[in-house]
Amino acid sequence: VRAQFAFVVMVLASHGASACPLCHTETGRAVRSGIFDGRFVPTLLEVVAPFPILAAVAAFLHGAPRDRR
Amino acid sequence: MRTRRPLISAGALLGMGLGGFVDGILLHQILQVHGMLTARLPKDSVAAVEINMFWDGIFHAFTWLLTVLGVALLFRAARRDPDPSTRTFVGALLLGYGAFNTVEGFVDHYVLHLHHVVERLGPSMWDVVFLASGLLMMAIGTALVRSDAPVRHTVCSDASREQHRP
Repeated sequence: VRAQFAFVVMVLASHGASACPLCHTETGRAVRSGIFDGRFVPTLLEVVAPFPILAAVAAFLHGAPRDRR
Repeated sequence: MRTRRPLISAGALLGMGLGGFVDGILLHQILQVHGMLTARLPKDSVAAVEINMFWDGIFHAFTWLLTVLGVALLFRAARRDPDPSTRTFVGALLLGYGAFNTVEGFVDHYVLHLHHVVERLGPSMWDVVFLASGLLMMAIGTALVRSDAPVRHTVCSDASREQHRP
């Protein structure tokens, strides 16, 4: 019974976590600081790293020889 | 003789873009087996989920750019060749999809260690399966494109197309 009461209290006491990169909440600030930290640019370069390679593959296919039919 | 280059590059770019969306939509959002940075930042808090979601969005934005570029090239290819080969286009789509899985799998899973296919397992057979699926699709796509029988055609210029238009 005590556990059930504690669960009900927790559910009623909790409120929705308002979290987004633009939210003015504690979680929102944590999200912003987690994104725009000292590693933002290196992380950005890592996340987009496959795309220049894929673009190069497409460029190679565009200029590949023996493509006529 | 008409060139297939625009159709092949358009199909490949569309395949890459659609492959990226399959990864993002199916593995990141529906199944949620990994996020963009889950090997470094596990999704164990709301903030961590949101940060991963942000980098997922950056990844999707670049995937969208590949897709838009593919649509533009496809439009250009259709203007040059009003009767494009389905086999070549499907082959190019598979080639692009396979290239996406191969490049993304190798770079993100093995070189940069940003995430793994099933993050709770860490580096696992699923990473190998993902990479192998890319290589297989590239092989099938290449075979389809190459097997498209060479046929001689005259160049269909805009002027001659206008003449034949009803």
